[in-house]
Amino acid sequence: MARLSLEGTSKQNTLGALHRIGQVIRGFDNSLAELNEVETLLANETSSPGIDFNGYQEDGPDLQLVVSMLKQMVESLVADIKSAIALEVLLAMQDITQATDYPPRDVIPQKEPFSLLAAPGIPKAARISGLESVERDSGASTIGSGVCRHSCIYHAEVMDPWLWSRFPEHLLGLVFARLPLRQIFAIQGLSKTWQTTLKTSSFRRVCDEAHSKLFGMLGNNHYLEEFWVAAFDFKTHKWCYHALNRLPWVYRVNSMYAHDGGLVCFVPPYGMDQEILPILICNPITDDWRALPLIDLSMKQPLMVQLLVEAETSGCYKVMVVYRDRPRGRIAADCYDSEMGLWGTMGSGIVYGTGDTTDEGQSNNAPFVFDCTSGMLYDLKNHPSLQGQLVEGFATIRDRIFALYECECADPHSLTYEVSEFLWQNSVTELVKMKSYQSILEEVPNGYKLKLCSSEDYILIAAFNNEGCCYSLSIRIVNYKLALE
Amino acid sequence: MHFQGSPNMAEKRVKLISSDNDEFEVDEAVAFESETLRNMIQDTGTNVPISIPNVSSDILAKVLEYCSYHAETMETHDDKPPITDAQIREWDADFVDVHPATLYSLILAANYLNIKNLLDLICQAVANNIRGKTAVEIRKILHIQDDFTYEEEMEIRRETKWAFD
Repeated sequence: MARLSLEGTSKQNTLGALHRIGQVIRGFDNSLAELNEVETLLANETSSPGIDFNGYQEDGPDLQLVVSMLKQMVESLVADIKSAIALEVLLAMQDITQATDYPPRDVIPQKEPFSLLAAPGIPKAARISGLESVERDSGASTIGSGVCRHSCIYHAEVMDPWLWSRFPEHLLGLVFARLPLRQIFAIQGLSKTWQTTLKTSSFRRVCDEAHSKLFGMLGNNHYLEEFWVAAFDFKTHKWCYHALNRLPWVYRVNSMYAHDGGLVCFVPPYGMDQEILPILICNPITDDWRALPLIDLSMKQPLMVQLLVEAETSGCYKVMVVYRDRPRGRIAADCYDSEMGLWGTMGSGIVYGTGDTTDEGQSNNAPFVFDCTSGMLYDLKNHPSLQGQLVEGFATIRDRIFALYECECADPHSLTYEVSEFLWQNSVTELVKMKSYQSILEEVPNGYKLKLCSSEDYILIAAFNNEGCCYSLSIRIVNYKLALE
Repeated sequence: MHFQGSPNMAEKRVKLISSDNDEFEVDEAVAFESETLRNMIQDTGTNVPISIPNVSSDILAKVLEYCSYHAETMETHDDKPPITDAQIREWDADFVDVHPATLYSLILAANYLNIKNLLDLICQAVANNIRGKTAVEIRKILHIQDDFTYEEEMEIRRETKWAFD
């Protein structure tokens, strides 16, 4: 109620609004006192040996928990109110208007409430309301001048709830979409409305626009309980892990996956059972899942998959699956185009990807190139251009292949790595080295392995250990187009 | 918006009237940074002053400051070196370095006037303000009711726990 009348503050009802705000705040104080009473009451009851019947005992501790939680909330609310400068000034004004009968319109400045602090008589009012901080602040000339704008001791809460609670929801969505990735996941927990809003296509679009999509790694954790995606957030320079809980169990082991442009695609494991499973596409930020139209993979053993998100036509993607035709042993590729919504056989073109031709299941992350015209699959790990190098990791970006290997280094405490960029020349089946970047990584912890990740125009080196979920911070990001770190 | 080369276009001025009846006069190119104003000007021409009923003069001044700077960056002068992206970013960062209450008014104005780049810029600035705040703190600022049951809350925590570690 108080808020409503504050919104429409005209000069006449200012005093009324102030009065009501005062009432609301005193109400909080009263609630706190009452909660304190209830808490003591409950504590006495549970500790008294007389009350001991079963049903009650079950309720008892819960009630206490509820009360103490409530008390904590109200306490912090009251503490916040006490430390909110804007509110203090308001309350001080109320005291003035009541004590001296100033007409409120003379006291309330039109635009700059904080200029009040300079007015004579305010320190007295501040003492009346028992808020020493006002006096302390009156020396700080930064207040209200727009210089101090973060949560400092003077501005415990710079974003005034009275103002921001009226912020239009669709604009709030635009703001939330620009938060660091891990906080976007936390937004789900705000309320049911936000949980739903986060899944709408409009939020998704803004979110996609606002974030550089970098899904570095995917994998199972140690006990195959979780399938997670690790994304590197450019804004905070931190990894953000997210468990894909909605990924069906069948897909968690031995499935093949690929990622690009913020999407992840899962190819169901081959030969698990008779049931035909679809290929899944997921946007991990928004937890949005799509099942592609079924293709019968029972006779086709998937060897490699490439996901290609086209940046120009927003949201369109292609899934290219290279498979071995079981009865004939021939290798071929199918392509799904999200724009058409159709599968088709690829008669020409080249599919790039990291895949796995062993039956071990766990991908060894080796790059493959498949020529759809000739039906030849090239395993680049054993390609002559790379032989003699101990390749630690591979990554592909569209038609470029990147390999990471260790270099000779004089300093025993750091490691020098080189990342080379290759282009596949199909006509001569040759891997041509385009560029190479040298990078010195320091303090790679013991037992950590390096991994090369790619997304959009970026490649990065990450160190990780076999526990799966512990990634170190040694990161180099290279925009391969600009060759910038 | 590379029409500055034509002198006739550059001379066209647009009158804008803020909610508190202050009058602003800017180049048409500056007003064209705003989709809303562009549509209005194309409908009614530049002779009639355009009133902007929900933007106050101090905010409108700030918005126009943004628009004129960005309209200027589009211009190419033979005698001056072009403004680099880094310079623009620096200017933008300075521009949004204001109290959140000002950002609040700016975001509404940018939304109403439909200036996409400004809206993006301010949204990011506000996001920086709430970056790192917990769900409880955000609820407090935005007066969002926590309407989850205990079980639902636990379920969300389980789902998002990777995001918190």
